[in-house]
Amino acid sequence: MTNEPFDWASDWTAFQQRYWDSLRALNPGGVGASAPSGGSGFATNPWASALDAWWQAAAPAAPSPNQEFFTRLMDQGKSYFSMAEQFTNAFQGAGQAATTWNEVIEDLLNKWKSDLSKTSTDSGDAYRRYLGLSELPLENWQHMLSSLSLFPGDALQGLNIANLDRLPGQLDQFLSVPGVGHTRERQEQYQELGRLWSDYLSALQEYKATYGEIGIKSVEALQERFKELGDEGQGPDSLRALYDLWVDCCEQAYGDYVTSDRYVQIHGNMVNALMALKKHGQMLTDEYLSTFNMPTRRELATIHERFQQLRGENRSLRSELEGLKERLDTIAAASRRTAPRQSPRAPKARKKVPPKTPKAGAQGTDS
Amino acid sequence: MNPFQIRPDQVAREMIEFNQKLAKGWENLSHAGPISTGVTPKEVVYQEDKLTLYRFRDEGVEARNPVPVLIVYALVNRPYMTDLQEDRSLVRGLLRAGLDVYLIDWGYPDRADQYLTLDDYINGYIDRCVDVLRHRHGLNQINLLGICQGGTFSLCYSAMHPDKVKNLITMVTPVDFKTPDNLLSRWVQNMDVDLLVDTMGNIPGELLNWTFLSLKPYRLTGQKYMDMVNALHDERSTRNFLRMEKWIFDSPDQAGEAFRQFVKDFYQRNALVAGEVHIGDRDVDLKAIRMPALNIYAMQDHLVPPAASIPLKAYVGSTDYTELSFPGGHIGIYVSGRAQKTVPPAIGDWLDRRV
Repeated sequence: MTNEPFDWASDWTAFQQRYWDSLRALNPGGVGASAPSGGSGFATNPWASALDAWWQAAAPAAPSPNQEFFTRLMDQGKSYFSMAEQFTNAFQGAGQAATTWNEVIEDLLNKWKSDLSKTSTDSGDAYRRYLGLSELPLENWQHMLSSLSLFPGDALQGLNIANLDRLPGQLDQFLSVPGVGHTRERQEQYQELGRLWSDYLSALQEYKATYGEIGIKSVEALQERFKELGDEGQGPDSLRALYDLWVDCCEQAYGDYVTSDRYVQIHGNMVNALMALKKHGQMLTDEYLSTFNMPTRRELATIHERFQQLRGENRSLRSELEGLKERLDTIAAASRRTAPRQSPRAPKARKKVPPKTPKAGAQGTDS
Repeated sequence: MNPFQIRPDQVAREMIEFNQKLAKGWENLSHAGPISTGVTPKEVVYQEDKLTLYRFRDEGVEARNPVPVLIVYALVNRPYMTDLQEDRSLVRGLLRAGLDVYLIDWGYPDRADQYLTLDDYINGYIDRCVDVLRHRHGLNQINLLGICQGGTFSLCYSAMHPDKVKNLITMVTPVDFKTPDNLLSRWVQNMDVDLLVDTMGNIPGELLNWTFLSLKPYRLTGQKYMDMVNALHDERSTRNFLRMEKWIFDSPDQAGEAFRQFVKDFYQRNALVAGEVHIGDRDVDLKAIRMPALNIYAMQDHLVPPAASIPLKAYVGSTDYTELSFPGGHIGIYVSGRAQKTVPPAIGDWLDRRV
C-alpha cells in the first residue's frame, strides 16, 4: 500500500472510472462506455449503482438454477459497496485530525440512528441502506410468507401503506356493521376475515418496529466499539474488517434483543395472528370449493386422519395375532414335550373263543 | 485517536478486487452444473411409506465391528449432511473406522403424512428399522447414533426399548430444552402450536428455514455471501459451497401431529427432563437408559447450545457415560476438516471397546 497522500479530486475519480472499466470488461455489450453520471442513485452511491447496472445487464444470461443465488450475492455486494461509499464520503471531509475524524464518524452514525428511528416504511429502507444487509429478517419473513400465501409473489410487499397504523382503527368501524338477511352469515364471515387481517397488520407493524429499535442499538454498539478501538489505538485496517465489525455489532444487538420477553411476545403474536388469518381464509376457501362440488381440504384431512387410525388399528391387530400365534406355538410345543410316552405296539392277542354250547332243545330231543 | 487505519485508495482497491472475484465467481457459477449430494455408495435395505433405510459401503473397507450402527437423523433437515462430499463425510469416516453403517432417510412428508405421530416415528419406523438390522445381522441389539432431533428420538427409543440397543451415541442432541441461551425454545413459548398445526397441517420447510436463519440473520443471510466471493475462486470450492447452500434450504415439511407433540412436550413443557413424555402407550423414562452412552456436543452450537446437551449425564441410568466436546458449530461437527479427523475415529474407538 502506498504512503503517498491521496488526492480526492483526481485519484478518487480515477479509481471509480477504473472500477467502471473493469465492470464493462466483464460484459462489453451490457454497459455504457463511461460510468453513468446522471441520477441521484449514482451520485450518492456510484459504486453500488455501477454494480447494479452491470448485474441488470448480465442477469438474463445467468443459468436459472443459480440466478437467485447470485442475486443474493449481488444484493449483498451492493449493500457492502453502499456502506463503503458512506464511510469514504465521510473520510472525504475529515482530513487527518483525530478530533475531526471522531466528529465525522459520530455525525455519520447519528444520522443513521436518526433515520432508523423513523417509523414504518422509512426505517425499512434506512435499515437496508445502513446495515448493508440484503436479506434482513423482515425480508426473510416476507419471502417465506409468499411461499405460504394464496397469492403469487410477495403479496404482502404491498403493506407499505401510508398511515398504516391508522388502518385497523378505520377498519373496525366498517367491520362492526351487523349483517342482515340471507347473506348475514357470509357477511359475518368476511367481517371476521377483515378483523383477523387487521389484527395481523397490527402484529406485523409491531414486529417491524422492533427492527428499528434493533438498528439503533446496533449503531450504538458500533459507536461504543469505535471508541474502544480508538482508545486502544487499534481499528479496522480494511473495508472488509470494517464490515465484519459492523456485522458483529448487529448480531450482538440482535441477540440481546430477541431473547427478551417483549420480543418473544411480539414474535409469538405475529405468528399466531397470521395463522388465525390463514385458518379463517382456508375455511372460506373450503366453502367455495364445496359450491363447485370439489373436494375440500377439510374432507381430505378427515380421510387422512381416519386412514392413519385404521393403519394403527391394523398394526395393533396384527401384533395381537402374532402374539396369539406365538402362544399357540408355545402351547403346542409344550404339549408335545409333556405327552405320555407310548411303548411299541404288541401284536393283539387272539381272543379265546369258547366252544359253542348247543342251545337246549335246539336238537328237538326230549329227555 | 482515529480508529480507522484505512486509506480511501485502499478501499477502492478492495472494491476492485471484490469485483474481480465476483466476475471469476460468476464464470464458475455458470459452469457449476447440477449439484449432487451424498458421495458414499449405498444400497436400499428397507422401505416403508416415505422412509428409506440405507446401508453404506466403502470400497476396500470391511466392517470390523460386528455390531452395526443405525444413524437416526433429525426430521427437520436432510440427512445427506452426514455424507456431503468426499472430504466431508461423517459416514465415510465411520466406515473407515471399521463400522457397518446404516442410515434412515425420512424422505419428504406430504399432506397424506399429516397425522403421523411421534409414536409412529419412534415406536413405528425406528423400531422396525432396528428390527431389520437385528434380523439381517442375527443380533439382539444394535448400536444407535442419533443426530440433533434424531438424537432426542434415539434417547426416547432407547428408554422405551432398552433391550434392543447395545450402545447409544447422541450428537448435538437437545435434552434440556429450556436453557437460557436456547433461542429456538424462547421463540416458541408464546406460539399457539395447536393453531399452527390445525391451520397448516404439515409445517412447511420454508417456515423452519426462516426460523433457523433468524437465529443469526446478519451472518447467515449477509456475511456468508461476502465470504462466498472468496469461495467461488475455483470450480471445486464453488460446487462445495453450492452443495452446502442446497442443504441449508432443503428443509422437508414436518408431519403436523409429530411436530405438535414435539414442540408442545419438548420445547414448551420441557417434559423430557421432567420424565413426563408419553409416546403412544409408553412412558419415556431416561433412567431406563442403562446401556453405554456417548454424548457429543459442539461448543459453538447456536442451534443446540451445549447447555442443552450436557445435562444428559444427570438423567440417564447408564454407569458407562462418556462426553466428547467438539470446538465448532452445529454444522461444523459434520463438515469441518477438524471434525473428519476427530469425531468418526472417536466414535469408532468408543464402540470397539464395547462390542
